[in-house]
Amino acid sequence: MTWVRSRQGIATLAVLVVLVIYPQVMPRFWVLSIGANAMILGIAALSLVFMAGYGGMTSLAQAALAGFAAYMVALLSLEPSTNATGSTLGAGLPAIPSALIAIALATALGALFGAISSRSYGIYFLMLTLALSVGFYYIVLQNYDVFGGHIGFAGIEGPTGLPRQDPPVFYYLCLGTASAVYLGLRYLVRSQLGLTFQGVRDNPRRMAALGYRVGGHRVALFAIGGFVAGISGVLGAWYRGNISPGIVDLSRTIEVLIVAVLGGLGYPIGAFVGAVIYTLIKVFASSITIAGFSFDERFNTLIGLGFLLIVLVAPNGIVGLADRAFVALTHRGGGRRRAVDPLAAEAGIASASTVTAPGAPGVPAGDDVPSGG
Amino acid sequence: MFGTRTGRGLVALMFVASIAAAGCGGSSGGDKVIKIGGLATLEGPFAVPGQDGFRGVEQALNTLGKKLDNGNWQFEGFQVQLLKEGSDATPAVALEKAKKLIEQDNVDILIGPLSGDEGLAIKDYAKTVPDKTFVNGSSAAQDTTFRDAAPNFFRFSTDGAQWMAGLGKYAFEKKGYKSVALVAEDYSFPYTQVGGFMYEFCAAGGHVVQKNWVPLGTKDYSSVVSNLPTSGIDAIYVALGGSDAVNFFTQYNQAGGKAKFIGGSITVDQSVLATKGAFQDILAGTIAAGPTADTATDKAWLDYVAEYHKEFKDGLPFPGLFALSYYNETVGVLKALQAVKGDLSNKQAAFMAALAKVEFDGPTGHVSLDGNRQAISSNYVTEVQKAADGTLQNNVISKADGVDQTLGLGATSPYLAQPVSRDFPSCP
Repeated sequence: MTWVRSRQGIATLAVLVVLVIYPQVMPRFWVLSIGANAMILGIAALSLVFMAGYGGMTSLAQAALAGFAAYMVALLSLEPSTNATGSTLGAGLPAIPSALIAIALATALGALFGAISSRSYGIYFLMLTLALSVGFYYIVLQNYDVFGGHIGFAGIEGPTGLPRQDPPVFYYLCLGTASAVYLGLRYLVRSQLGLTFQGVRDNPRRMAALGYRVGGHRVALFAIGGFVAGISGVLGAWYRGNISPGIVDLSRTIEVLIVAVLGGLGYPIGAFVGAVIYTLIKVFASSITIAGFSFDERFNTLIGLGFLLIVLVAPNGIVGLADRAFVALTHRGGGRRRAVDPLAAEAGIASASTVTAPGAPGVPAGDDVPSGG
Repeated sequence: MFGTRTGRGLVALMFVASIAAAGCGGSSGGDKVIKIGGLATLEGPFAVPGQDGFRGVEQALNTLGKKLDNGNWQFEGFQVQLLKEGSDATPAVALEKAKKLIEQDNVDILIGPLSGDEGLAIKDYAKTVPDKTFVNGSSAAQDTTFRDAAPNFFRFSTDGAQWMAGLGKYAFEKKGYKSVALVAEDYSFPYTQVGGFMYEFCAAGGHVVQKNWVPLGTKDYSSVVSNLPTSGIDAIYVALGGSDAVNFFTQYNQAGGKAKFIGGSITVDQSVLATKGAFQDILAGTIAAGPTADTATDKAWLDYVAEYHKEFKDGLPFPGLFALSYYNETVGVLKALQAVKGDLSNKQAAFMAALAKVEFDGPTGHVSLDGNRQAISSNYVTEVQKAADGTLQNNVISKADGVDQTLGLGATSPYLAQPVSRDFPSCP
């Protein structure tokens, strides 16, 4: 197996080198609007992939949690000024402390969302988190005293100033954060807590019988989801420089879900692969002409068709497809696929006793689904 | 971490992406090609107006230039290439699309966006790209040009307050409305419209006793309708667009409301008047104001409408204010380009100077720019009347020429001391 290890190492190194050199050789648009933008979206999708894959909780509240952190970082870092409704807003803190507090608040809100929704499963959990997300959208849309209403806030600056002043620096900030979040989650799922999360996902009743607090763990998982989404929200606020309710509306909520499904809900790295592909399609769909038919006024049709195609051809997402192709190539004729924990597999270890096929997250297995009451 | 397989995938992806980028090169030809980016809303509540906006851009290009087989337009000494992008009326998407046009497609001039809050976001972005020229589409928030203006942002269309010119006075003096309540959508464009109406109405001595702000896209107006005073007001000022307006009028009518209406510029347009429903009976007599009037009889307007119908078989019954705004913006750009013979050198300095000086006679009247690069142009006051065949139509009551951004109050007027908002101006 050493040769596999070394080949893996080489490939990893190659990807890292490409990612590091990328902002030095590409124009600003590709560094910021594609590179940094995709990583920010990828972190938000990663929070969903993590919750869905390790907690069986397909949350639709991740865009709202990210947006909450963005609003918080704006309120904390903007200089105090009196808004149109007469209330004075803005704490004028430096960028880094504002970001840390904003992320902590997003974590707390994630825990609150978890406390509200973690007792429900499947479609009911989906609907509850969707309701929380839409509720948050209408609060920021109509609240002028705190959230600035339809217009929101402008002039938010990160620790590196405006992204466009030095695109590579902001790109490296995103790259470093994305890597840290990814490695952190990888570490977490291999820890005892991570294994407990998976136990709670697969068999809540048995875990309860073993003395674990199932509800508490699900709330904790939601809080971690809020933490990761909050990081994405803060980076997003710095990237755009402004926030308005448009960043937490229903289409943003769906966007996070689409990215996660595109990459593969069972694969954490898929969040970033999906984000890159989604960003490229979204940016260039209007420039594409197929058989003389220009999509400049119908780019959403093209995005929809692409999404449909990927879901039909690769139900486990792009990474799932690549994974299957790799297995078929290396185990010629074999095709028997190890059922492994995807994140642990990416990390090079097979998971212990819990065995779940990727692509089937969202509902706890079999007869152990707690039924109402 | 990134296993071999995913690693390869990523590398392959970037390879494909870089090829795609290389493939998007410009076209070659004899004359130099000037790239104009067009930005309008092509999805969401303003998708139909966005399409009409692009019709305005193309009509201007067809009128002043000659369309070539390669899709560009030929002018004397240069060609113009048009690249379109669509947004969804949110500032975030408009900003992304503008960045794509400016930074990836390398357009020289951007024409757009359509909606108020988008315009404010694009103005802020324009400040960070001083060597490119930004020309508004039809976005009509006041502060896009009035306060904290960007030196490279130009607007050949009038703003939402200018679109109200003449209405407040007409309502108070001729119609005898002394106190009104208002219902309007809750964002920068209706603020500007309400402001423009109140500048004149409050100055004449009228009172706006109640303001109801509703989110864009509201479908249930029952709480607003029950909140409206049933006595003590002479009319209700309604600044809602499209389906919002239809929903409000329908529900107000069903609740037995009898008040007269004053409309914003997109409240009682053809799309609302042509919608069948019992609410039509209460719309007759509604007064409104805006930069276009369907039934205007000026020759320039009739020629413009005839040309519009000739070019766009799928066009609207009349080109609306969105088509007109984009048309005027594009004409301004093209006239300035002709004046400098397509010379965009020296960070477009000569071009921008020429653009600030452009004056022309548009379909509805003379257009020129003030010191903030904001249009001074004409405006109509209209009234909904029942035609002989029973349909409703907007008839022209009066036309004002040379309306500036302060509606003649002057920049030092107390009405312009603060930005328009939910609470300002106020005359309860």
